[in-house]
Amino acid sequence: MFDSFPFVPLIPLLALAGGSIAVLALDLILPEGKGRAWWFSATVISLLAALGHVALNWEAASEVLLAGWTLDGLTRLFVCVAAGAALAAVGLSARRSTRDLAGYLSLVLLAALGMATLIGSANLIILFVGLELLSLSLYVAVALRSKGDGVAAGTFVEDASREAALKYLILGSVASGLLLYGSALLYGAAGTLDFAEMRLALAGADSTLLRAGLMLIVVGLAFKMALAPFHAWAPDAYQGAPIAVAALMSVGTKAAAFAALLRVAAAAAQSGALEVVLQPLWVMAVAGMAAGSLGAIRQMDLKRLLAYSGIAHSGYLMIALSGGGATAEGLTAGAFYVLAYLFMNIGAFAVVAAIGGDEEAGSRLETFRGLMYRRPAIAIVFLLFLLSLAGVPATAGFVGKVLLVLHGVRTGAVFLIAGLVATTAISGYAYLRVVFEVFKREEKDLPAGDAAPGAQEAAAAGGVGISPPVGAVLLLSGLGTLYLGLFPHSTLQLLQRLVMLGM
Amino acid sequence: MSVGFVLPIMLLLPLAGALIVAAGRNKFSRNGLAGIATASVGVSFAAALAALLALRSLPEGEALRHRLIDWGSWGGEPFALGLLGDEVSIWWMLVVTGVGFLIHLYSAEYMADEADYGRYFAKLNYFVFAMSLLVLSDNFLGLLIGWANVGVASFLLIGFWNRRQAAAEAARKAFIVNAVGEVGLILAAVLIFAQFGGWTFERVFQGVETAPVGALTAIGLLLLIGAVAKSAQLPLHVWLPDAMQGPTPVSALIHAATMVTAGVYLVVRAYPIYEAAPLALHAVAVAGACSALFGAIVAVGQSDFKRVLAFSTMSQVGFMMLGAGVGAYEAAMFHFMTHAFFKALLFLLAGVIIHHLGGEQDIRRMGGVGKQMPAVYAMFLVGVLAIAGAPGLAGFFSKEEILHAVYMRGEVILWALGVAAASLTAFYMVRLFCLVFAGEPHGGHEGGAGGRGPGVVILIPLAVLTLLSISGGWLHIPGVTDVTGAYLGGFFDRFSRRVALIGQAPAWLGWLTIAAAGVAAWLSAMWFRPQGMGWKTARAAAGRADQGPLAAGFFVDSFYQALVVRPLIGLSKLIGLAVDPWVVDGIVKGLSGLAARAGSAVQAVHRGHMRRYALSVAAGAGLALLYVLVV
Repeated sequence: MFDSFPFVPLIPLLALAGGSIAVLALDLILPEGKGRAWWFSATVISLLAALGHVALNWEAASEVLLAGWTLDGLTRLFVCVAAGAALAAVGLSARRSTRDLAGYLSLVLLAALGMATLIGSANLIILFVGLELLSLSLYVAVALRSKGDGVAAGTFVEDASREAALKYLILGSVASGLLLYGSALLYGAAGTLDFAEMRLALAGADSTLLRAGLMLIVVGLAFKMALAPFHAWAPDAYQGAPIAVAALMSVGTKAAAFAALLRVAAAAAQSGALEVVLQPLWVMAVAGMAAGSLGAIRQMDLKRLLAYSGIAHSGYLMIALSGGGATAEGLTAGAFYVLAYLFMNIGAFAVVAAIGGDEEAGSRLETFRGLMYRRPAIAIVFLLFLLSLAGVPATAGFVGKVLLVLHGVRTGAVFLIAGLVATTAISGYAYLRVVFEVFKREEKDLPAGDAAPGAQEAAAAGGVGISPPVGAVLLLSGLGTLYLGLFPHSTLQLLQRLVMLGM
Repeated sequence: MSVGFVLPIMLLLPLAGALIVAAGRNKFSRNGLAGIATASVGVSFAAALAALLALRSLPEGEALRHRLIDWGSWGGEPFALGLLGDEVSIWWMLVVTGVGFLIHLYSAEYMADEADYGRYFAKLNYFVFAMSLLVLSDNFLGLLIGWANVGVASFLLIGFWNRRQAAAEAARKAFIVNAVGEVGLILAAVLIFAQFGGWTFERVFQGVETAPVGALTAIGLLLLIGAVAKSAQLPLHVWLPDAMQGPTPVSALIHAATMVTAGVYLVVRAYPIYEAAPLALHAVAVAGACSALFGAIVAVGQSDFKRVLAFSTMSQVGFMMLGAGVGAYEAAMFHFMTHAFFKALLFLLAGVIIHHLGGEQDIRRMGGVGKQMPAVYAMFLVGVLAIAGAPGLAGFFSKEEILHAVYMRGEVILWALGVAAASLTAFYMVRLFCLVFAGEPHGGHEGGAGGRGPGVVILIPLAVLTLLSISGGWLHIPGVTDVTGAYLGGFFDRFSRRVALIGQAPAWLGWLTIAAAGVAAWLSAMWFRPQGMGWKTARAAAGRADQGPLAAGFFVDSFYQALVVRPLIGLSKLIGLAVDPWVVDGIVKGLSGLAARAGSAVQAVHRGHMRRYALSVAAGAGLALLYVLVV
């Protein structure tokens, strides 16, 4: 039996699953107070194993494993993104207090496992399993806003965290229900669960059943990507969640759901229904761009601001699907954008983590006032991430946007491009507000001034300097953002080859 | 081709300067910082001169080229950041780096009391880099990147004194207005790619012949939106007067001599597109003429020294636009150069005077400045004469050439607007001159709070600019010299669709403008001479806030506030209210209220907005389903 079990290609999944179990087991085995380093090591090792496996086998042939999970270029790339985001989340959690830590790390690994499963799903069942694994882990992880040393149990922060988790759970369950219902309808229309068979079965097909099924699946995934009008959960959830989890959700969930959307679109590519189903998606995308950028203008909390920004970025990403779902060029552009988003968004969250930590006031805009004069190095990388999110040239975000626009021009997606350009200008202002704060110099920001109590508290907490893991995350994100912005050529070539393997 | 390497030198030296100065701003001495920054621009100017010589030695029709960054190809289209040194870009570079060098030099002394000396020079160097990138790019994408970067540099420098609320507001306003322009430019770039399949000027201009006029007109008009925003032309000029919150050398370099002419550069650079789209070209001319007149009218009612000059800049750039808009690109380039000389001179002198009066900027409270600083008096007089169009000085020849071309194109109405603007220019400049220099020193300032007069480091750039303001126009004296014509050669003939002008311009044309400006100057001098009517009114109103439509720039600002800013905020609120109950200024209130009430998390979920969220999910899904089932 073991002869036929494909251990080696399944290493990404096995490592993540094994890692999550190992962390819990270590919690049981090790004496109290000794486990911290072990848990972290186990987590990091399993993430690195997953990451290393896909990264070392970039151009291996695609294969479908156990009839349910595809290991192809698309999977490899997006698993890298998800594992990278999880790794960053672990790095940003380095200061967490020991209480709940093992469970928390295990949940992060399970969420990454869910993402990897979802990304490579080759049939509807695995897709749903992956989605649920990802969602359930995150529902709980959102509630685990701890309790850094400044936050006592039962305080507001804890309640807010729980409230956010509960909201996310209830709304997420509705979306999961819709997706499950859509899967049932799609099965009814196609007569198969398997995407490869579905592609043949659905060629030229178009029926009410098929359209309804596809639409509901798209809605379910749109919820995970926080496209409008399914975005309302995101700001609350991000604000309530621990920063590390918010960072993981913003990048990992988005990437995984996008990959799943690509899988479904590829499966339905030859049916007449896909084009009809994509039209509401364009509306959702532009609505997301508008809601995200308009919503971001007035936020006073950085996590909420980044949540709104994520809503807009999900909208931009949908341009990759124009021209009939999964096309090679669209995929390249989309994959590049996801990669760029990984670096710049994780980076932005890392800055919040480095400056404010998980304290209540840590992500408030005032906390960042005059940052340029207090912590110039962090302020400058922060500036880089904000500019990249805004799409300013010489950053990853700019190249990503250009690629999407080029793809949109080729496929005639005028509506989407107009949305992108108009909302880019608006959201540019939203990011700029943060830049203003960073550069604002006020007398009261001078040392020992009477800054806002929250800001001072946070400054005191963050004032000890950056812990090495957070510093590493900042550095890597900054380098990635710059590298993709200045020398996108080699990455683009790699993506093009991967996409060839993926389709 | 082999000499293309001077192009990256020109471009990258100021960038290197900016980085070095920024890194060493707390380590190096002040002289070191100023020296590095100034030298980098100076060498860059030398490289521009070398490029000029290299270009002259190439056969006509060829240009210097250099490939800076290769981004590879994507979907068959090569992506590269290339540099192009042809007649137009070298011309611009000479002025940008030349005037830039002089203003760096001036700043070294002028900003000497500034604590953030290094930060200032780093930003100023960064601006020169960004402007060079804008001008030297050989494609629309690179131009756009430079365009965005000069916007950032301008934003940083307007808000240089970031403890001042007004400076921060002004920086923000400039950024937002320019974002509007950038949207136009980006859309133009998208259209260009859709139409021509690439961004390089070469490729685009070759395709112009066969492209549909509709597309070209759309591209031209979108480019014009960008140009209008950056060059502070109607109706997007509102940021420029506020931009005077920046340090005065910045106003001289960025908001007078160079950056605000980027719109003119864009039109001149894209002239093949405009030649093929007459409607768009005409729009350029109309925007220019209206701005020239509008700026001149409003300048009459300003009482802040720098705001007078700001509106004057808007007006003068309007002349350049007018010239470009009737196809007289050479004239527009010529006026760009002379204007850079005399406007930089005027601004730099304004800085000296304002320093001398201890920060006073209200011209109604000035007077008698010349008695204390005769050299400044003389140089300012040269600047005033040059801009007002006194025969023989720089501004005269370039402005005449534009008005001449406008008339010869048969655009009589635009020509009349231009003449009116030119005579108003004489009027407001003489007014400014009288209020600042004539009469006795106004109470409170005599003796000069600034104490010391300008030193050598300030006087050298001023002297050079004064000489250039006198002689800059001699490059092209009709019938005598034609350096600009010889330099440009047939550059604009390649794509120009203009029929050759027939006949000689009537002789009265030039005399008429001279006479109109002369009369206006005389009226102004009578009105604002010491103890004249205007003089008394102005002195009586000193210190009070300005009122009336002129001072308020015909309320364009209030108009935007009511029609754009408030609705946008309203929309944002609406979106917030619809789905986001944490709107946002009230977030602190919300937090504390919640903390008070939070018994259990479950309770919180029962509050209203959970239902609202669920409703939006259900409604969205329902609508989407309905759509796919019905269609």
